[in-house]
Amino acid sequence: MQDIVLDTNILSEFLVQYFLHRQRNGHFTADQVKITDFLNHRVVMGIRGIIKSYDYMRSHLVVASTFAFLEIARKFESVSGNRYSIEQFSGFIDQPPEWFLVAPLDTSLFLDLLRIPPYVTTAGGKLKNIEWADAIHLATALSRDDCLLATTDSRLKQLTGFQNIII
Amino acid sequence: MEIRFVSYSELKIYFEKEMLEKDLEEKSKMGICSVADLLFITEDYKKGKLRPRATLESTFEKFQEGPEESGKIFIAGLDRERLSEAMFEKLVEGVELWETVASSKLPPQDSITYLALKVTPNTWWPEEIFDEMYNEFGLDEE
Repeated sequence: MQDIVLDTNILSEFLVQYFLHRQRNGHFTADQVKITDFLNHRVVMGIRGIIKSYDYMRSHLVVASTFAFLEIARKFESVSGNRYSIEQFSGFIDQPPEWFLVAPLDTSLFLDLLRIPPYVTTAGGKLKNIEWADAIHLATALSRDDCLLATTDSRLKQLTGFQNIII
Repeated sequence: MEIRFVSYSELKIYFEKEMLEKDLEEKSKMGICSVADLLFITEDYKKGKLRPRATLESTFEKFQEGPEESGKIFIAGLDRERLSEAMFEKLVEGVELWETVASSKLPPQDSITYLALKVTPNTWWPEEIFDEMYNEFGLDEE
């Protein structure tokens, strides 16, 4: 099992499920994470495994950068689609579940950002920019030992040398 | 100790020439910058817009061992506590997002800078730091 960093789209989709199923006492079970357009089978199995094993292993975490939360805030209405409130969103950041880490945006990402190329050659042979904002999620994953990145970004998925950590 | 905002262009000069602005060499002066600007250095480097004297990795190491370690330049980051404190306005009536940063009017890196440098009860730098940053590249909030 490995840690999993969620990019912004996947984090937002995960939060929808979390707030829909979390009980009043804060209890949320692994099986409540379901496959959707953004959460593929591998991502769901990974998140479920982390939640299930946390009580006895406490060794792996679901992770998202503070930047992913900021990106959601910047387009809150369209991203949340009224499926969770600002109060819930703020409460999650204040007190995330034990198995969830809100990773800092700090100087520790500097060298990992340097490892990520600025461009990717797509399957069609075109050179496309790797956006700085997307690279932050990958750098967050690279900065942790044995960590995967769950992303919807097609450019990151095509980056040579990183495909083994992208799910 | 006198403290002032350090802009992206100053930081870029450091990474190209390994030199700080003269006023920051004074013992009584220090600078503060946003982590977004430091991370954006990598973007400019990768796209050929920044040319360090040696490698960027070695300059970064010098930066960490020099200005950062000695406290000459403080890099304000964005961790969970800072995000929580700076991004939300917690009112009696409920919670609101800080409208300025929660807007696509600002580029994402500027949203990070606004949050990192916002003065709140747990920050130690003066309000003027945010004002200096805002005067440098701030947007009208209206």
